Amino acid sequence: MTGDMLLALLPLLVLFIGSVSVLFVPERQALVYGVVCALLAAVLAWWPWLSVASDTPLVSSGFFARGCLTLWALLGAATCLLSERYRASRQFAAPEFAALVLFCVFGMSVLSASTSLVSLFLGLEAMTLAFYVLIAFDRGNTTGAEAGLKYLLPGFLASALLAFGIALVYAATGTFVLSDTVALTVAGASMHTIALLGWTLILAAIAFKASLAPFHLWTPDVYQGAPAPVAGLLASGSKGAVFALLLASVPLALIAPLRPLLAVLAALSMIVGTFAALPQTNLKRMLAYSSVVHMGYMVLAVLTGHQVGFEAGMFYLVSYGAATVAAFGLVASLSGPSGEPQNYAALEGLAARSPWRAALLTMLLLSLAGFPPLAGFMGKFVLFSAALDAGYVWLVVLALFSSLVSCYYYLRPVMRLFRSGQTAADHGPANGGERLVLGLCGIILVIAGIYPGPILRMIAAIVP
Amino acid sequence: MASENISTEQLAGLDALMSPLGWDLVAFALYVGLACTIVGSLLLAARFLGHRTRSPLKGQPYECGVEPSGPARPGYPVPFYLTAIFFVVFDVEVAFIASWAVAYDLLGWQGLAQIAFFIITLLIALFYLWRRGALDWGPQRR
Repeated sequence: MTGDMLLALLPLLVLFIGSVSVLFVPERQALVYGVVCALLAAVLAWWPWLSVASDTPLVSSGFFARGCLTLWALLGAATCLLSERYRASRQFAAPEFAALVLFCVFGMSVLSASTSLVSLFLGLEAMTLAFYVLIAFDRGNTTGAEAGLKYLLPGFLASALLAFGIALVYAATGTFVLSDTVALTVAGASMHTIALLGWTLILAAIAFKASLAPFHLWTPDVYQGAPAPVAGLLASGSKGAVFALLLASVPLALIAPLRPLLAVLAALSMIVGTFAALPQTNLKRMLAYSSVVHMGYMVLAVLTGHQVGFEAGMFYLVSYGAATVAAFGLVASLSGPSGEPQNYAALEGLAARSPWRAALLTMLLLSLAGFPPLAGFMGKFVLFSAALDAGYVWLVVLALFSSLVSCYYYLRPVMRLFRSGQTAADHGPANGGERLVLGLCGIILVIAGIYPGPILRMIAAIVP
Repeated sequence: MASENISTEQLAGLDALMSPLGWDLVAFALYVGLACTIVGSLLLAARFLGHRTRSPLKGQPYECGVEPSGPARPGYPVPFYLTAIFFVVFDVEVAFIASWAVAYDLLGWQGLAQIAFFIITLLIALFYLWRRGALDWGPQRR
């Protein structure tokens, strides 16, 4: 390990040392310290003298890895800012919370930067391990404990599948390096069947983490029970990291026998997620099923298998991530000591109580549904056109159909917001951190919808 | 002579039917059947031939000759559980340190620096546990 390698690892080291040292920071400053560490890592990733840094054996330090690290670090900082008031009303231990969020960001960064099957496993496990605790962080909440258990058990199964798949791929190809394993499998390695079986198992584990349709059953319960800021990080960051890995370093679409599997996963996610979201009356459960649908769209980007599709996928991830984090952040900012306003009935008349937050929630849901002036529309546009170019017409038709149906379940809570309601306000005004995060997400959604050129160019510059 | 011929022909026919693996499986099945028969017949013989006594004294658990006292499921103090968990955590880390120790001369100063980083991280974790009062034995803290 040379000095250059240490420089290349510096952002990751900052995240790791931050997550250890925040445990010794006093309760009041811990979350702010966590935000500072995450932002420092994000800045260090683009520090000029790091551009000469060399690759380390397990994680790459390319532009894509750094861009992803910046994205996850910003999501982590947003989670810390959003949970400040939420934490105070529920007596969370702030140092542990900040440490786990930072460690989670560390895991996501390792995962999306991994160049080897070993670091893939390490990153996924580091991320998931932190989530196991974060989801059940509210110890007084029984649904939180249930959610923790429901994430833990599928998580163990997914880890086992992943480890077994990695073992099979290694047995067939004789190397852990991701690009070599994919290339050898495409070329038809000596034990082609074994390699394909291994990749299928890895795909199943990834589908568990990204909650694609046959493997999505944990999603609604976990989102409902987890603290709202954590659910936001889970919905945007963990799924984003998994898809960043698929887009950059594991182009599964190159392996021809896996394409039908990916297409079935995408189609099932769109169909099941859409129809399961229709009858929901709980905002967090509805967002959970909608995330299943959005992950189905993301599989389209993986299926295209070329640069344009990958760029469209990253753009879609950014727009989906901003909307999701802000939606869960709004739930957190609207929740008082008695609980989160999860049911649509609790949102009734929000427009009269706090018009800004009602307007923002409307905007977020419209963006997720894909209404024109917002980022969601632009994301779907570039993504679906890339998939059309790659020749997946029936999947794009299915996606258009499911986003048409999705308007119904996204607009149901919006209608409730503007009704004159009787529900009493349980929450105070938003604090500075919440305003900053929610406002930034709103601005990103509007800019990415109206003038997406700069963001698309930035993504095109980093996607390998 | 004729009968010998027939028997070898039959054997050859059986060999053609069953690969060497098949013969191995037959032998294995015979072995399993024999083992089960012996164990089962011994157990049955003990049941029918042995003589049984039942008394409350015989029903008691044998605790090194000392008469048992108290319930069989006492509430363990929580520090016991915590200490057990910490032991497991730090014990697993020994596996990593041992894997460095067997190759320390090959890994050189770089390996030493890496394992030092690892051990220092563990030490910080230990300090954290200490500060949180997780190592204080007794119910008054926490």
